[in-house]
Amino acid sequence: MLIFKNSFRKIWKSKGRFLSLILIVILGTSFFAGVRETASDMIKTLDNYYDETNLYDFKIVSTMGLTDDDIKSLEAIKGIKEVEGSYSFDTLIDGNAIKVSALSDISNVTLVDGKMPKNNNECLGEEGYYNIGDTITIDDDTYLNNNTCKIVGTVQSSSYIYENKGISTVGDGKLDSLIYVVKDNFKLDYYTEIYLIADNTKEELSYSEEFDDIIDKVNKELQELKPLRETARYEEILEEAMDKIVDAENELNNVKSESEVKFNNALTELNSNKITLDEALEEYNSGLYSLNKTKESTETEINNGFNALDTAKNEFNKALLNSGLTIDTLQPTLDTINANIKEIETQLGYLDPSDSLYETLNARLNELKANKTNIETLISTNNTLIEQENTLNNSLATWNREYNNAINELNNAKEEIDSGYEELNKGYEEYNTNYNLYLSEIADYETEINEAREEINNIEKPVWYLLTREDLTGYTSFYESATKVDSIAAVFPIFFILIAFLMAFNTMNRMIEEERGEIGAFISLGISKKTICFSYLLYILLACILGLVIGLSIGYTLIPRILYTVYAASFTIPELSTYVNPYACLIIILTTFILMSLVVFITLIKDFKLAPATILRPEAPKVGKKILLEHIKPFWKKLSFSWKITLRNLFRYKKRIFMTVLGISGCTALLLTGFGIKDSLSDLLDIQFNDITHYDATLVLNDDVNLDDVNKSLTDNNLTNYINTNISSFTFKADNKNLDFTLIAFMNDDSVDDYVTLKSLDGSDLNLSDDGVIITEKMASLLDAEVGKNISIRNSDNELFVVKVSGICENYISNYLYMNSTYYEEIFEDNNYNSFLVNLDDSTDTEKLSNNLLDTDYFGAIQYTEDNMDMFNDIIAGMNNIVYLIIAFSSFLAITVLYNLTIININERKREIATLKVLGFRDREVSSYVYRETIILTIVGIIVGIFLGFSLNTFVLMIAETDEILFIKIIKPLSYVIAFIIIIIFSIIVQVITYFILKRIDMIDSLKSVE
Amino acid sequence: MSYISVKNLTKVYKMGEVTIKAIDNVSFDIDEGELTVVLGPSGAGKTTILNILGGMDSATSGSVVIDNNDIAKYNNKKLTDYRRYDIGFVFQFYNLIGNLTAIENVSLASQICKHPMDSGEALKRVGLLDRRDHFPAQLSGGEQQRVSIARAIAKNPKILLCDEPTGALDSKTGKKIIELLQDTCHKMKTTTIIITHNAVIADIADKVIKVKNGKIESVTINKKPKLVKEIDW
Repeated sequence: MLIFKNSFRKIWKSKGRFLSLILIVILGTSFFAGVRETASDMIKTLDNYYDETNLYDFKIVSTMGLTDDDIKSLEAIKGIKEVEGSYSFDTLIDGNAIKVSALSDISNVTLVDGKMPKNNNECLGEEGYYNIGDTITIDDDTYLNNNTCKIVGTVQSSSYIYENKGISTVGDGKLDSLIYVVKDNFKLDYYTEIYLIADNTKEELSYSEEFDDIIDKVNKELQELKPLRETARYEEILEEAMDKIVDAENELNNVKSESEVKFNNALTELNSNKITLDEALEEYNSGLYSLNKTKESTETEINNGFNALDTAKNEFNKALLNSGLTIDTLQPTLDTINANIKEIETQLGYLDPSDSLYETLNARLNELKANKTNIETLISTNNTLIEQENTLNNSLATWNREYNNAINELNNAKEEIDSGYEELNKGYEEYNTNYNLYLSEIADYETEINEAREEINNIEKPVWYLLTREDLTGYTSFYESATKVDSIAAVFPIFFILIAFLMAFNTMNRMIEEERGEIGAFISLGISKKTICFSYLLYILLACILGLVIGLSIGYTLIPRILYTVYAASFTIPELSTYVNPYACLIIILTTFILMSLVVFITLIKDFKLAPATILRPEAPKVGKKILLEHIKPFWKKLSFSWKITLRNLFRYKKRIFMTVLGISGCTALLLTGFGIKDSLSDLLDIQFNDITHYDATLVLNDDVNLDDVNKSLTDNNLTNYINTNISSFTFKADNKNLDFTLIAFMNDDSVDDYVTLKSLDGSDLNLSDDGVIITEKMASLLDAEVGKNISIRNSDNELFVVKVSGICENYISNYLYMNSTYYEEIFEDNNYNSFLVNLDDSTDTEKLSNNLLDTDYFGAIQYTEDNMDMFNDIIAGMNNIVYLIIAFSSFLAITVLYNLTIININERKREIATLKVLGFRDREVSSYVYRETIILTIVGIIVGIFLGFSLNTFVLMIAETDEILFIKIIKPLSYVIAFIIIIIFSIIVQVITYFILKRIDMIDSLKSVE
Repeated sequence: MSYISVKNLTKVYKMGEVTIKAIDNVSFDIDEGELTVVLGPSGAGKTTILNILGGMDSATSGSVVIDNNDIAKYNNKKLTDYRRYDIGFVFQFYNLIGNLTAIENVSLASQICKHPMDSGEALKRVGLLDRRDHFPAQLSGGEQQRVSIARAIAKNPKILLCDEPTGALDSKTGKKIIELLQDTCHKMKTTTIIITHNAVIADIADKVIKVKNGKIESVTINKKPKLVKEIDW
């Protein structure tokens, strides 16, 4: 039909208008579709990745390892699809904390380059950290059969998608990279972890409610199994330990009894030896005694002999002396006497006995005989004496000989006895030493056994940690990032599409008004209203279709990709798969069609209501009117002629004022909101981590450490500024959600200011009180809490506590609850302060410090504020990039709106402009005639936009705000200036374009009749 | 030499592959202060002549010498100046700026030329001084055309170009407008060219140039032009 041909021709004739319509549709739909789809695309892409790599739904780790029995009982749980036991450990390689894991089917890795390892000599390394061909050596040989492996492939893991891989138990507490070895390389007799995959989780989208529901359900089952398995494992370990002790005791008893026998035998032998010796000694002693007795009696006897001899000798000597003889003269005297006797006797023989001489001689003989007897007696006495002396001497000699023999014999015996004793004593000594040694050994062993027994009593029940994907830093961080996109997507594009729609409406409205004559002609020619409607629908729907095709293509591919690239920077994730959400797509298409059709109908209906004849006549020109300003004569008179015209024109078309101001203010508001979000974010970290919290690190203490030791180790590491605190994770309930916050109780609240500045919202300083807590602004608003009100909080064991709020403090990132020791101890009946907040010197080598502190075993973990900041920096950088996208799109929109408005303005006034040209107005004058209005309206639009922007910014930030981050709702003066300048630059650009359009306006148009 | 001397003027429009000769080798002269009527049916080429004379279009070939200046050789800028200072234009549909009062419409033109007539004076001449503060929509067609004439003469132009000045008016009003133009021409000695298809108007002209099929059919000089009162249509 010709009327449609007319429509197509119109398109060609009004290229600018048609193009701007398309552009508006493109901008509106691409931004709307793109920003709304990005989060969902991101999540879908990741969900695919998780499914492909078979990422676990649950990971169970235990303080005491896990067994095949555990696996069996897990397999028995309803709702569990796959169970796999696996191994991993953290170790330091070249000073970096590396997690070495076994390759598993659940949570497997994606090979980026190289090949999978086949044996114990080969392993995989994290892509970007290790290179193929690197050789790694693990110092700790408790885990692996082969501790030196060559990297044969590089991988990515869906468990560690974020650049911050979470905490490590070694090194500076931060996990640096990953190594994967074949499972067989592990030599542990227990699993370090068990991976679970639940039924149907793969079918559901990760992060979705359905997914979480399944996890919750299975989690409940697991929670029920947990204590059973913990006890089972505990008993198993206990039994094992008990068995060991019993064995040890048995062995000890065996050793004891055997040893006792040996020692007893040895002792018996020694004792019998001793008895023998003692008897010998007794014998010896009695021998010696009797010998001595004998000696005494014998010697007395001999001495008596000698004494008697001496007496006899004295008597003899006396007799000798009396006889005047000496021993030597005795014999000669006797001989002389004998000779004398003989002579006498001879004489006598001669003599008669009566002879006097006889007598005399006889007398003499007698006398001689008496002498002789005397001498002979002396001699015999002497001989007897000599004999006696000899006998005595002999017996003495004999005795002495006898005695000596006896004594020698005795001495020999004594010597033997003595050496016997010596040996015996040695034996005893040896025995005692050995026995004591044995006793102490036994005692030691017994102590050991007792200690072991004690230890068994102290064996803590193993604790199962049920971890879900939520416990993976990457998994949650990614979701945070994606939802950040979504939170902005929730509101921003609406405003965007609103402005776009308004502009389209304006354009179509003007077009139909301009073509009023033509419509009248069609109607009078008898063409049905339906057909006329359709001809305009054709025009606009064509624009819509073209715009939608381009807009949706951009929206569903380019925008998600741009945003994703921004996020992918801090994540190791596969490329984005873009999806077209058919529902959203359909809604966008339908909404666009319906809205645009409505525009056509609404405008046409106005015309259709009139009689055809009336439509044929041009719309009665608007009656010129004096404007209000003219009544202020002094002011009006001062205005130049052109300004008068401008002002009059300005107020003539209220709709144009409205449209222009709305369009421009809308764009300004969008721009300003973009900048505002950026401003709010840019200072956030600075204020939070410099003005509010000051501590540089948090040291988490291990259980049961001596505070004095800890203090010493802190001093040893040159740490002087620290404060002992209790830092615990708590939750509070708001809007049916359990939200996390950190409780910080200061052991000593003197120097709290050095670590955290607590300021109330009006800027005044807050102090910790003995009967209340200070909570952060965001938490207060979520809880709807006021000073003096009570709030309920729960600890990680889900125990409920009620605390009174004594202050609400300024805070932007995360939620905190601060309290002093008095109140803490009162509420929690606990005085365990498990952490330190530390201020560091700028020059501190944090890595070294971490290593030093973790080496002491006092500290379980060290968290640096800087790392925390880095994480938020990533989130904020991501948001910033969305902001750039918003700014870019708002700019595009602004330029389109300005262009569109100017084109409409020119179209409306083509005739007027042509007339001016005929009248000899120069191009510049013609332009300024048009511009002046645009400039005024633009400036008014900007001013309105600034107010709008302020509110929009507050609104968007309010919506985009998460439970973790409170935005500072400010727009910096510079941002106002930049937004202003951007719009002005755009309007200048548009005016340059307009200049050429104006130049091309044909003066001959002025000769045509009014349509 | 005449005040206006058109020689061998040709204008060719190219519409895609078709070339249309709107006027073909046209020559004529107009003297200063003369009231000339260019007469011809639609499509004869008279509007093209008007466009070229009015400096709104350029010639393909030939010369248009006005007061010793060949405007056919003018560039856009010079043409604008030519329109600005030398031409007063009266449109068929008045082309008043709806948002300006009568006197403002006059001032709009006069404020940009070198020696303008006082806007009030111009309005007075067309007899509309009492309606000076009325907006076009508050004026009748004839009154609007008068304002349009006032706007043209306020510039003290060398040439007053009128494009079908009565085309949108009823005959009575039309006559009054023609009368005004004739009057103005005679009193102010402004060279006036009226383009029309209405042969009746030709009677009041000093010179009648008839155009047909892009060529000059005839140039007639009225020794004794009729007064407007004397004509009838």
